[in-house]
Amino acid sequence: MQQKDLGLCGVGIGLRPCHYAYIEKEHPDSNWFEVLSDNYLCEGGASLTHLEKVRSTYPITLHGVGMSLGSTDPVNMDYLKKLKSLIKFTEPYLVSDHLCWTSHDGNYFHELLPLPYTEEAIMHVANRIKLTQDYLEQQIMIENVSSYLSFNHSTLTEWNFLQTVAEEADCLILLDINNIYVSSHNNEFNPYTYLTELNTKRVAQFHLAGFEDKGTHLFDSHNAAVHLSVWELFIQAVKKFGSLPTSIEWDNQIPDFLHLQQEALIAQTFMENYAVSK
Amino acid sequence: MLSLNDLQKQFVKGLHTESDEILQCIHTTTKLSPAQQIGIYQSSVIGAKQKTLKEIYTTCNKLVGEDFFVAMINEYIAKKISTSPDLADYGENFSEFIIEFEPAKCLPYLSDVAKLEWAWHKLFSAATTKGLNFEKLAECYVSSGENIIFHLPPSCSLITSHYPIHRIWELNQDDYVGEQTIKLSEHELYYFLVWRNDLKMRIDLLDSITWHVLFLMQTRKTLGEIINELNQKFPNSDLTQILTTIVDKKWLAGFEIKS
Repeated sequence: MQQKDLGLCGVGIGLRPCHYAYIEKEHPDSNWFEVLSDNYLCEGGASLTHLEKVRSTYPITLHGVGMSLGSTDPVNMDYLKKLKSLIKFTEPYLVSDHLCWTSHDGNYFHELLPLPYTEEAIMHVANRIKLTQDYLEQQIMIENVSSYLSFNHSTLTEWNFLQTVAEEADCLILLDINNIYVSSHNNEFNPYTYLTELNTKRVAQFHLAGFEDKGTHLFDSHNAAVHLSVWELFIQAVKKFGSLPTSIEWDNQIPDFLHLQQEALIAQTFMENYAVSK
Repeated sequence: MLSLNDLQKQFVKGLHTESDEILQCIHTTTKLSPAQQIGIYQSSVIGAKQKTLKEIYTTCNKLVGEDFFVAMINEYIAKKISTSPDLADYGENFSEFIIEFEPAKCLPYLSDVAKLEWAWHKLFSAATTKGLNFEKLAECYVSSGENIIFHLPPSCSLITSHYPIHRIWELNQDDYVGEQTIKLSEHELYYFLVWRNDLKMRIDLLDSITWHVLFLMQTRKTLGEIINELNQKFPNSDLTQILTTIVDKKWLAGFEIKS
């Protein structure tokens, strides 16, 4: 599959309904917006109207949670049909979902559930990504998720699994820096090893977000500013993979838009200072 | 070693605490046992559904209070799986569940309020229609008036209740200012149309005849059949006036001729 010219650069911000009015009125500086595709798979109403307005001014990417790429259920073609319509409607620069499963036996959990890192899982997920890309006529990105457990019978590391799936499926990688940090803490591995050993040119975007320290584990809550330790990891990622499009995610206890712009500015500064020309 | 399918099957059983077989497959960390690790996912799965139901059924929540509402939705979540990747589809039959929920039986209007809130939630993002083509309608009316089947917009829903649920809903809105008392009457039947006027949501209290005309349209009765039924049930009704109101309010999205 042809990799499309990304044509997207700098730091973008996750589009959230509480910011519609401000964005439409003030047209604030933002290189682009990341849109949660699942919130716009409807047929009409205010959400789509706001999305149309934002899209008329800013580049967008679509980021979803519903593909259930790792599930052993049949691929939900109805979901993909709706997503394809949204892609046609919005003409996004990138389309992404997660390397996980969210459904089993027709039961949807609305949570990013972990996969075992095995050869069987690689082939299974890669085949579903290929089918998805063929149907959407669009190369997609897969994102590493935050995990709270790992399986005993995994035969690969998470980064090897991510890289092999992406290569097998000919898709791109959305590298979530916060998720690497959260998973490394919870599953007791070195996050810098993840970056060092991830050797691929398929990384096309970074994610940044805040986590919550629950004492016994870190939780990917998206309700806080990016933590210092994640910024440090981000610098390493930028040094290795370059100045890739990066988005700030904030989903709970969402602050005003100016606060998100400040986070974006920090990310932009790190990118400009540490990126190596690629 | 479990196959991927069996692993997911056991994981789901672990989420629902039906089996702890999955725990043997989970790596123990220095801080958390496998049971605690899967417990994190259990909390997230339930939490996502709780959040959705709280967002959809805000009035029900206010009517019964947070503790009662959480207990009610927890039982609902335990009984009803989600069958759609879209979390916004979860909670469709909550009003039916409330009828059977023993502790809520002393609140007979609660189920109808839930029905109203579900309609509001779904119609908010229903398809937008262009409205009637009057020129074409005029042509068809001349040639085959009685065989016309009118289409209601997908962004409208007809509801009845023995309780003034529109007032109950209104009083529980954050920005409501006005009369704070509601007279509950169990004998009267209220007729509602929940609909979206462009992007603005509305709840209209209708007279019974207008509601019935819209209901007959929704059940794909022809204009001729509607006239016959009105003559039988409401002999003194003025269909022309009712149709004028329906058209003026933009409650019609289109029409077809019955073949």
